[in-house]
Amino acid sequence: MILLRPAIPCLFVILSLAAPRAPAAEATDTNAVWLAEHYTKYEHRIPMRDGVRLFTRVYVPKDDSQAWPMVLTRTPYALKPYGTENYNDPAGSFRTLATNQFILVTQDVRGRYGSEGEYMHVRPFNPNKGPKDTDENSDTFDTIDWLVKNVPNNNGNAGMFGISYPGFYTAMGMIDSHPALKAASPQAPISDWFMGDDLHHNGAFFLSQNFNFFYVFAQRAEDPLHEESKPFNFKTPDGYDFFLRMGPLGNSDTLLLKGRSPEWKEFLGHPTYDAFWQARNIRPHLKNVRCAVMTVGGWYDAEDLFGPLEIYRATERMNPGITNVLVMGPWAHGGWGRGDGDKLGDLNFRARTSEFYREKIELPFFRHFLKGDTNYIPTEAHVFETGTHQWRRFDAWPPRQVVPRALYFHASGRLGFDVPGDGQDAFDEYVSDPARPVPYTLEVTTSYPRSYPVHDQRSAASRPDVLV
Amino acid sequence: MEEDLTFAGPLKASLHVSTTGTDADWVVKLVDVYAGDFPDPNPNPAHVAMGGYQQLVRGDVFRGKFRNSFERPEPFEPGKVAKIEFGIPDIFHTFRRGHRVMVQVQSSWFPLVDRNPQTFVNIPTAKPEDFRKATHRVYRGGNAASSLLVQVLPAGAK
Repeated sequence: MILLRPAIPCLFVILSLAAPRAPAAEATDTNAVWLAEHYTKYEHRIPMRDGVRLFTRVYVPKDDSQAWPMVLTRTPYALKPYGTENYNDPAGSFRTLATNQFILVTQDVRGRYGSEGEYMHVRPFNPNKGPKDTDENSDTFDTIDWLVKNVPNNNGNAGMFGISYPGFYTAMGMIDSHPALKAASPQAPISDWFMGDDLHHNGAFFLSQNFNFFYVFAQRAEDPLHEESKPFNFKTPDGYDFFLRMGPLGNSDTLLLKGRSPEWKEFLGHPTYDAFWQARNIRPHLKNVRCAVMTVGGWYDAEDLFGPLEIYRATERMNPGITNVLVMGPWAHGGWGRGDGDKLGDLNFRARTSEFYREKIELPFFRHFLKGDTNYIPTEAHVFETGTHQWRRFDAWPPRQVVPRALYFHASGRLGFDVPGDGQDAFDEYVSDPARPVPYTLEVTTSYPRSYPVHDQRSAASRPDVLV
Repeated sequence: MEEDLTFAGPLKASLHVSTTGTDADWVVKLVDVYAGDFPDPNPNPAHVAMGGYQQLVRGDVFRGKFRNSFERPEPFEPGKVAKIEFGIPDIFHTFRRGHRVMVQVQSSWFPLVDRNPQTFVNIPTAKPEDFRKATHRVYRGGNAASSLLVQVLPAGAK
């Protein structure tokens, strides 16, 4: 259930009630038909405090024997299919929630698709808003406020969740929580685009994962609610060769994108951790969180692994006393939200880890905090141990019993916890040639393999410019 | 290894390095080397050989010019030893009995990460001639030891 088009491997893979394979209400699409039988679809344009209206889709259970809680997802990736007659094929987490009577709300964020206003990537949190000033936090607040007052048969409790960019919007929505917001689950949230998520790690620019994403993201179709975006035409399947021939990084804009992604150009204009990037770091702002928080991430998430770990920690540090828990599984980006989660690359986890997560971790979390279901015991860290392939629970993360130890580099490629006996001048060396960079994967692709974080490194180890 | 070894928590790379250039990237990878007799998958349509498989557990990159400040990058002085320290996101991984723990260090990871010209320039406006070969050293003795800091979870810990 990849967002833009299933054929395009794209950066922030999302499962917001995924784009259907066929017009949704056709009899062939049993899931959409099921949804139409059990839910009523509404589309609203909800006014924000500055008058801008945000397009919001609401599915309400037809079962009105009691009031139900709402779960909100905010997304930059469209709510296709649009139109109250067209129902989605609910996949993954949405399917689990839909079969358990939740009001499912999804919103185009400010400036995207059906929503008015101006879009801005990872819009900074404004801690000093005037009465009419807005940011993603105030948009979330105003949306929840409207929903609890206007959606039929809601029980006054709201939850939020989302993966990747929607995870970022979930984290933004937690700050100074609306009183109705009882539970939030940022999943693979973006925390800082210079330090560790998506665009840069420690200041090093991530090229191949992002190039096509920002090309696609910036497209302005004439009919954006119905047209699909087009991927960049690389004219070769070989990304290593393509990006090497591209030459210096600046050519990505001047020769290839040619200004078609203004954001890409803007990012290249901020090559240090300047005020631009510092303003886009959500971590210092995660204060006054008054809802339960369950942050979710994948150990093998190539896009946003830094984000969930950092947002869990920052939330923990700045909001003592709230329920704030961490779930980490053996997943690639968003892998918990759909599919079985039994395999990644050449690894076989011998268990359906994603299904387990959705049924036994995520659903009980929302049932407890939104419906008052008592059958839930918060686990501070519910984490999958790779290598042995088993779920484990700890009352802290990292576990309290861990002992920090240095693995030293010794002569002849040996590693050891013992301090090396070599002298001050001992070294290993290699020649690094930018004309022949070390490939990060042997797969031939212009995108990236979701499983590269677990790929076999034997080919790298055999190169003279890799120290082993 | 003769017993399982479990790491749980963040990693930290601590390197003493030098370069003949004035900037460089440092990629540190933690790898689980499977036992030679590790069974292949069954069925095995892709003909994967799992014996001696070097599974990446975690890798991350650091752009050397930021070693003292992310706001004010600094060149390396060619040939002079410099310390680079950076955090790497958490892992929770057990290296099974019979496996080996491996660390790989390299200075490119392409095209995942753009190429460091290895000369101290503003990379988004770098010219082709700024990209140069360089020899990088990783030191390992005395006060210049290099290591990967791990969090060891004792066996049986709850």
